[in-house]
Amino acid sequence: MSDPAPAIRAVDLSKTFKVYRKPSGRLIEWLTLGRVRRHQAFEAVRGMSLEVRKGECLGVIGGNGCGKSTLLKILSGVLSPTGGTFEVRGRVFALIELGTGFNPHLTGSQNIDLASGLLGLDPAYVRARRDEIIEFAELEQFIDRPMRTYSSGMKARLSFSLYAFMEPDVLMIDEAFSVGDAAFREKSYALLERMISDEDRTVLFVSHSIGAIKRLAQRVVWIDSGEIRQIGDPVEVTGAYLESVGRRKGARRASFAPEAPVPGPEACFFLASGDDEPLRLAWAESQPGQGVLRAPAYEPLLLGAVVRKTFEGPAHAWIEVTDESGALAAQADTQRLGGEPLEHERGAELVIRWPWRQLGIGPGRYRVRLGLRPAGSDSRDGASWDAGSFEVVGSRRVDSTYHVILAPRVHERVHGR
Amino acid sequence: MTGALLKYRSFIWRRALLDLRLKYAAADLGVLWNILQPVMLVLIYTFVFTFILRRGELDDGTPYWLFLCSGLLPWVAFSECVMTGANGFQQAAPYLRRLAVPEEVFIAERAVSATIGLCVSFVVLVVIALVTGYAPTWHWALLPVVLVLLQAFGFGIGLTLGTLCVFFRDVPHALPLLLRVGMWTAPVLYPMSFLPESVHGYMMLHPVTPFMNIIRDLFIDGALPAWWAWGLCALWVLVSVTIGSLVLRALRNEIRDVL
Repeated sequence: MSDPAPAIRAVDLSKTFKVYRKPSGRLIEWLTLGRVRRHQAFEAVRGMSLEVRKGECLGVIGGNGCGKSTLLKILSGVLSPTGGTFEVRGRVFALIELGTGFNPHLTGSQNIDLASGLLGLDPAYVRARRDEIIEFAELEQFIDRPMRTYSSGMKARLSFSLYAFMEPDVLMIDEAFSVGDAAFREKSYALLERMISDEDRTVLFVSHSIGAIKRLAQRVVWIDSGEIRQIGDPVEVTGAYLESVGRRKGARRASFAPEAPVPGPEACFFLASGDDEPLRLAWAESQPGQGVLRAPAYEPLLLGAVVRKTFEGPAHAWIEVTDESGALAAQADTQRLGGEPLEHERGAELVIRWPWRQLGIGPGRYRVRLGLRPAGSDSRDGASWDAGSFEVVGSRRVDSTYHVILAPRVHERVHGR
Repeated sequence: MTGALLKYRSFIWRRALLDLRLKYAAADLGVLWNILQPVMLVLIYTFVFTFILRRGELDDGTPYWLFLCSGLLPWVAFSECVMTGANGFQQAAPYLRRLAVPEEVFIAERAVSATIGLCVSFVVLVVIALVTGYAPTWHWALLPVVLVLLQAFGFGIGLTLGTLCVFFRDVPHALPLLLRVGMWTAPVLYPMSFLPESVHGYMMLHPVTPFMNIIRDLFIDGALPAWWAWGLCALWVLVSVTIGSLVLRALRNEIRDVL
């Protein structure tokens, strides 16, 4: 990748924080001209190099404290790197955290002026867009009242709306947009998508929502302990990331190990069916007569399918469970779990079972998609099927962004013999 | 540093005006307090010295309250400049953590707002002086120069202390005491003639002394201060702003790491 003029170029970027146990430690270091060392170095970013083309959207993923926010703060000019160089071309705007810079005693309208100065917005721009901003925030009746009378949702709406009409060349977002009620969230999300998908706009997009990353980013970088672990195709990188998250939660994964006892058939259900489709029903429906399977949260569940291998050569099976917004809730891939490729001949019917010891995803409706792909290729190659949907019911609140890795068991079905 | 201040000048100006408005934003009279405060201060001192202490006039016949206020109002603004400057980065921490606005802008904003406050209060003092029958001279026209120089000196100190305060939180606690010592060791509340000649030399070492002397020369005596007095003031401004810039430059990269 050697774009002549990338919008963002970072070379060997690093940031080391000095951590002092006591403030006096720094004084001691100064007085001894650094001969006495009283700090511990914390390397938040280590030798990161990356380039983002003009117009590209680069997703950034990684666990908490992995250095992705630090990277964003460096690239947006808030923090200065301790090593390496970087260059950002064009007008930059960083959406780091919403809700900064409001004064409770001023009215909403006065706060728009105040915040726009801080954000470096052109006063003329804000004046011209004022009505739009207020309308988008749905605050027409409240805009001349002091901010202290606002609810927290109203404040968040106003602050999001300030950013909403900006047109920067480079946009950096650090998962800032879960504000307001459901309707506003949807509206702001749609607007952000529009900002991101502008072809001339370069976007750096940090998020924990794998679904959003996969939908919006053309490339994804996975950051781990301050280093770039992997950069490239969104599906590949997010898949590898989710697996490593699953692996790290060792105990939980163990319960999905192939050796673990499989839940009884009463917890099984079927996915979709079709006469000429290679995908068929595998087990009897647990709750006959109901269109959508209702699976109680925290109970075992067995996802199962019979698929027909449609190509020659070694293959791997995969499954993805996504929630209504398209965000990934659970996934599995026999290759990434270190399984042997399926060497069955073309046309073989395979029974694949994904035992789910405990349904650790939140209430809601989920879609299932599964497939077979030639070993070593992308999951979008090969054959895949929309396997229908099921609903998780239960009163307990579960973090719906939790990712579960399902370890499948695969059998060749001796069919009709 | 000058570049950043120039680039953000309109922002600094707007924020400084806002500071004045926000200072009393919760009060009913709001902005009016910026004028009421100095008016009340001047009236209280006038009342106390004229009627209670009966120390109406200095040796040369100047009303004591006029002498006192002409030094006290600039000192109040100067110490506000230093104090708010010292706390400036802490106060601006939410912005510094998230936005790429240069650090010195937030200290400058405080200095400018203290200076606007000083202008307002000195105008109040001039108005009260005129009302009580005090005749103006052309020397008064030079007052803004010395007042701005004094605030620039305070800005340099604020910049230095503000940077150090980020790393050592003890500074803001020691500061009010140091400022009090500073006020009593400079001819702010009393003329230098109150003290024996032998200490005058030492007093000139106090950086605020030349500023106070120039203010009194212009405002009270209607005399043009010596060129070396102006030079001394300019020198102090240069020293304090240079130190402030150097300290900031040395530590700039770490300020946002710590906040």
